[in-house]
Amino acid sequence: MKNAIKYIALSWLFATFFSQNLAYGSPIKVVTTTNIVHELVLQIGGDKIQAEALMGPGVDPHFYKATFGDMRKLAHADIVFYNGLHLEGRMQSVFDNLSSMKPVVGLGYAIEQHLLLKENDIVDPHFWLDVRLWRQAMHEVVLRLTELAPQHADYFDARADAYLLELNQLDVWIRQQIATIPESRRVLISAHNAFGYYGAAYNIEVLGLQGINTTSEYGLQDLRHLKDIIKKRKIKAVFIESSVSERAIESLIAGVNAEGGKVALGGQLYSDALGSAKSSAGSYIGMMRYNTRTIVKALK
Amino acid sequence: MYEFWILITASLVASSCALIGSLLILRRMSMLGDAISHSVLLGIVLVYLWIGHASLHWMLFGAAMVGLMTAWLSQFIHQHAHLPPDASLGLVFTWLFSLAIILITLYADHVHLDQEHVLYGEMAFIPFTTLTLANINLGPQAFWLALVVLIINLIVLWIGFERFKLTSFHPTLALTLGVQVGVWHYILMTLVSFTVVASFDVVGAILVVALLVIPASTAYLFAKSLKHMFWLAWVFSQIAVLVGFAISMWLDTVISASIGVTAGLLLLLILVIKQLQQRTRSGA
Repeated sequence: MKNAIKYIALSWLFATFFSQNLAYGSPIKVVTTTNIVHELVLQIGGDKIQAEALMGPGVDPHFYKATFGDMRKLAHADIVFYNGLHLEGRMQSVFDNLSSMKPVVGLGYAIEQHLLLKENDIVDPHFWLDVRLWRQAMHEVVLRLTELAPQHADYFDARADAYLLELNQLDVWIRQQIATIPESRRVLISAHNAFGYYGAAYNIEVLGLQGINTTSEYGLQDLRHLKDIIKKRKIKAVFIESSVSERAIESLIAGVNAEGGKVALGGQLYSDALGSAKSSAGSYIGMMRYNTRTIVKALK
Repeated sequence: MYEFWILITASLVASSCALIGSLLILRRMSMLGDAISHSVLLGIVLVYLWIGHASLHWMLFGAAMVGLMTAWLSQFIHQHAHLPPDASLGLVFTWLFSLAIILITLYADHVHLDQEHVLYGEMAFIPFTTLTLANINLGPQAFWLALVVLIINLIVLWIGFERFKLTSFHPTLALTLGVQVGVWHYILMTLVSFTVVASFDVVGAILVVALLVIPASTAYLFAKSLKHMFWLAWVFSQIAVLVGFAISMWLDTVISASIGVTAGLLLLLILVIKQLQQRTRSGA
């Protein structure tokens, strides 16, 4: 009997030892919500991690529906990264509960609080559209991945340094590009107010038809007000966003043109989700460059 | 284990919905669940304007109150203005929903206020919100909520079974026998409202509406008595949950939608079988 217990204990020890060894060698399983966060985590983690995003390209986080597999992904992840600041809505409570089982990181909460934009006490969650804030999120990713896998610390740091250089270049480039638009016409009008951070960081006024909530309706007054601004300041173009309906912006264009003004559709901007992996907006840097090019081309 | 919790919770919710759905279909009020899924927005908005933040418990309370109001008001209008039940239901919930939209645009324009986010649960994430009492993990909150709702339903239906039967099939006879038809109707409406709002929190709106209507409709095709109908609706709802759950696992898709689709296909299949049976019978 005693032998049996000893045998079981020994084999259990062996099993845990080997399974831990296995966990050491296999990549860290990372699950993210939006594909923007996904791409950032991949930039840092490289081939040391195995990352999966719950929301694919072009999915508005407001309209995301979880599948059966998403539950399994979350259950089996080693670490979870999400945007936070209520971008994921009710999933927040899922993250709060998951955090007692595994590291769960809301990148928005790692940003210096005073840099976050607020409207009526509600924080705008689209902070990634300011490259400097995204840089802070990147540092959080490095920190948390290193905590989980200290053996890869040098690898993560090297990748982070390289990516940081790219982000810094991107930041400077966007600033230069936006500055080429004549000051009076430097107004970005789009379907919903996702570009607040972008506007604040790169010195372009931002006006939206909808609030930060893509589900609420826009009022007639908002429409009237925007029409007046477009005509008065001779703004050349307005924009649609990849994850938000085009209808509202199209009716705005029709309205202005019917009243003798002249405004065109400037193109589609990416805000809540990256484009598909093959497109030029398939990476964070690609998305920011694509947006900036589209804005400058249409407004200049 | 995670899969088990989702399945058992869905099965509990489906049981509640199948039972009260059977009573609703007999009263031609099947769409009450859908009506409540819209009018709850008013409850959410009022609670937000009242206490100033979005706490889930208060939102649920507000939603249940407005759900109750939807059921009661439509019943009241149906009885006193002599409008058909579907028309009175339609006018009440659209009015409450519109009122909520106006309140949002006036006073809560920049808050994330919609039932989709505040109220409706996501089945895939049921296992991650657990109930802990004295440091013991008792399993998902949603499971306990669904269990309590089912027990309340069973108790009320058990106590009022004979009255519900009479008022569903022979309201005039019930009146002459001295049954307080109005009172029992309001009791049922109250039961529906609480069940529906609690189930929204557990499995989301679309599945609740589907489970209220489809299993009961399927049972309606065969049932010979109210008891028979309860049993049939329950069996159909459980088949829909099991098969739908398997499909969502197999195709890696949204669980609630899979169950809803399965319930609909089951109804179709049974309709076809019934038609074939009738044909062979009339041919013979």
